[in-house]
Amino acid sequence: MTRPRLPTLIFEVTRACDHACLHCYNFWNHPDWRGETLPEDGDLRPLMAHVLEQVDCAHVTLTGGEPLLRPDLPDIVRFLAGRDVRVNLVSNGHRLTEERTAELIRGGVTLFELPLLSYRRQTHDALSGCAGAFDAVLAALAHIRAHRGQAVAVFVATRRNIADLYLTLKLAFAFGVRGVMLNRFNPGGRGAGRIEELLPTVEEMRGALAVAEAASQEFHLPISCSIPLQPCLMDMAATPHLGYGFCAAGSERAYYTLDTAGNVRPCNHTPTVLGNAWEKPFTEIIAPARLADFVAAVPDFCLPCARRDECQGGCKAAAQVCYGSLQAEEPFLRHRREQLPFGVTAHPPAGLGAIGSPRGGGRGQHIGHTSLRPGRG
Amino acid sequence: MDRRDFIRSVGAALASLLAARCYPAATCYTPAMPTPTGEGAWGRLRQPWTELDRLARDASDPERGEATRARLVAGHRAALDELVQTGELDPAVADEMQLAFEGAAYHTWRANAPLTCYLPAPWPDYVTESNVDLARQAEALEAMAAQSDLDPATVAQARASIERDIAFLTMPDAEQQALVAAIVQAAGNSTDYPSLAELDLDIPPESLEAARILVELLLGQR
Repeated sequence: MTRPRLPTLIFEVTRACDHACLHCYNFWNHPDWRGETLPEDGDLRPLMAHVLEQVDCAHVTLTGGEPLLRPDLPDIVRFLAGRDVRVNLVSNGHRLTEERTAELIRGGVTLFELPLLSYRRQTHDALSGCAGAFDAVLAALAHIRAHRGQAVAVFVATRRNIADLYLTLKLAFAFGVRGVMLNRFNPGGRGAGRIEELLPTVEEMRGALAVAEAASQEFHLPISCSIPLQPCLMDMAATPHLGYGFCAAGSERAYYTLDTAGNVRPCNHTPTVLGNAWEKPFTEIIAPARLADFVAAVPDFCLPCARRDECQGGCKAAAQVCYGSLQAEEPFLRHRREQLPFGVTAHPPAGLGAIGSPRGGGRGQHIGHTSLRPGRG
Repeated sequence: MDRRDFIRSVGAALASLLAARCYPAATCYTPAMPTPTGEGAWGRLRQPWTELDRLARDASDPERGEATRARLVAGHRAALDELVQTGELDPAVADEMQLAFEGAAYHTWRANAPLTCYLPAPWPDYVTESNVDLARQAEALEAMAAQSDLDPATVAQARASIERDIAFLTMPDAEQQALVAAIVQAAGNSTDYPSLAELDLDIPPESLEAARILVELLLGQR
């Protein structure tokens, strides 16, 4: 039987974290999350082997939580590298001492993905919810380069740091990063309670893209906007040096996400569980029929749009976590579309209340169980 | 650097050379002649290499890029299998050559594909630095160290890496060697340049043979 070819798999190796980022998208940090506690300290290699034997996948991203809280992380990395899998490590960088960095690079981490939220210590630390985060992540970047590793920096664009973008890109360039991910704040977990405070306006994001476009050329730095931006809000043709990504769930570019219990989700932003890798074959879990509701979910507002299949309204997982439905307008679209630049008429659907208000399932109802209970607490 | 890294790097380097090769100026009405591909299995082996620029173009569309990459990789493997069957190529060398092409195709695809959340950057072997970039990095580091009041130890480590990379890049060229010497002199004993030992490669003969054959292939000598 042919194994499905996946460009990447995401393993959330722990839900624990030593930072408390204001913008955190992990759904288990949502104020209303009432989900199960997952095993944190078991050996994950049997699960990884079990899954990788069922798919054709040469790239794994280890994330969390903070993966470096796992003492056995180097063992996991070596295990994956031994299977000829390239390993991305998403970390806040706080525990990347020089010794640990060197060990992980030797073990097989081919790319580190670290946040760089500002060129200002105070702003980076405040957004990270952790004193010392700024100095730690820069030290980590220096260690990575010293040991001939590779890193990309992630700038999460919020209202509190978006004005810092240019100098932060310059700082990232100075530390030799291979690229920058310019991700606009995508409300999900802890961040879902801070939408008004953190979500940039359309004008602010347009300004940020213009800054990034110029900086990409100035510093010869690849910059990608991985969190979807709606083409009705942003003129992407004006920034040809930036990369843009849209929701890949259910497509050949999908990044299925596993947790420590073996639950498989369409992406790392959604709590929707498609199935458990220990209980069902992977091909069955990711069968198109199981993903159909997730893939089909598009806000009513977007139905007349010619680009709806490409854009899908933005991040439907954010809509799900914040408003209880995959089909709801995700926060950036909902809060910002009054500024639509291309003559699109806004017609807000009825029934959208405050953050966390209940929504009917409709086409966006969950496939598997999810313990997120919007509207409570 | 291990065997797989070496041969993948060979592939990526060859892809870069192909991408940078000079063409006569061509317009819509005076198309450049395609690279001769030759006859037989060797020609079919060369063909996927000559199509890497198509892959670069197709990569802007994720699905088309993936399909093109898969087609080229499969075509390269098929041509190699043919050459192994006829006894013209050792199977172990063929495997190395395939690894090199996969490295080249991945490099080309990654460098041109839209970036996504979890494949965020060009392949790590895709080195964008030039000496100009590195010098500008050093300038930026000095500026940001002052601007952001960075930890001196962190700045020193970052600066040492830049200097080391400059030294590394400048090693082959006499004129640039003088620059390295000037940097060495200016930095005194505090630098951390790569030793020759660090450049030692533990590469098995079949990998070296595969690299040699690929260069000859792309030069049209096979």
